Amino acid sequence: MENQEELIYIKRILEGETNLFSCFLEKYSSSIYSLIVRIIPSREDAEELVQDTFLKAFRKLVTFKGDCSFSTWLYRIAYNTAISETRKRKIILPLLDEKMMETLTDDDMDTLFERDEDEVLLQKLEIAIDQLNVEEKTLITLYYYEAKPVAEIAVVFEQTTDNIKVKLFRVRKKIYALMNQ
Amino acid sequence: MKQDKAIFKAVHSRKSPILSAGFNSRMMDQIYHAEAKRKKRSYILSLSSIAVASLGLISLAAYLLKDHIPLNVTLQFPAFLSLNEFISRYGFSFYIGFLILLLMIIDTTFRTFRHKRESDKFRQFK
Repeated sequence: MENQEELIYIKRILEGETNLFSCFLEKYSSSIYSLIVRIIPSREDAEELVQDTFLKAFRKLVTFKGDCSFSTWLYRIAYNTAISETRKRKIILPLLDEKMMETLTDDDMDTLFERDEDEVLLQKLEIAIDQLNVEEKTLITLYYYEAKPVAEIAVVFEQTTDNIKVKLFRVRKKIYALMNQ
Repeated sequence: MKQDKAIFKAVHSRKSPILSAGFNSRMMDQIYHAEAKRKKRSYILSLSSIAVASLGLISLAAYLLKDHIPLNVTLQFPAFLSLNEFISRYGFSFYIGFLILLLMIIDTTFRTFRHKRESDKFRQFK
């Protein structure tokens, strides 16, 4: 379904053809779930948040202006829903040595992150990714898993593309630091 | 930024769980429910706004009748004095009869015209 087609579908849903919303559900429910399940580890809670996301999207459908793609808009709702859920639960995240992070060089990281054959390294990476906060996990999922362009991620986070680039760079540093803790 | 093959692989190596069976249909039920609720809410809202507006108008009318408009209203019909002076009673009856006849002719003409147009349309569809 192309953007233009999605806009037509949205118009028709707003005019009363509610059943067309099932097309969006079929297309996006899995990707929204895989994003949320990476933020909220419990599958049941994640599924509930997917429901909340789609209900919110349906209720706010009239506010969708089409200035970004529908999927980006949906990701933004999903991210905000997940963020407000995690605020309710107090998750303790590991503290990092900021000084150590400052001393990291780009070359160290580039060399390490290009080694995709090392199974031990991949396991360490997975553990490190698990220790990231919600924003960082979302960033990683959208950029590496969903392969979303930086401009679209910027829309999801309601920030500039430069900000997102800086954040991605910092997340890489943090992953590296967590792996070497 | 480099390709970060290791991060890419680590992220993709974790299998995404699948949503429980029947999730989409359950979700659609909720959507229909939300839509019905929204319709009901907007119906109640419009009904309430009509009730409030009506009450407001009734109150305004009551206030105006009570304080600003005297209740001894008398309707004054225009006196046809000038008519009585110039036209006889028979003349006036003929004048009214002529007006009725004219209106009937106009009415018949328009009805015939409308009927003709509708039958033309019907023929086109056929």
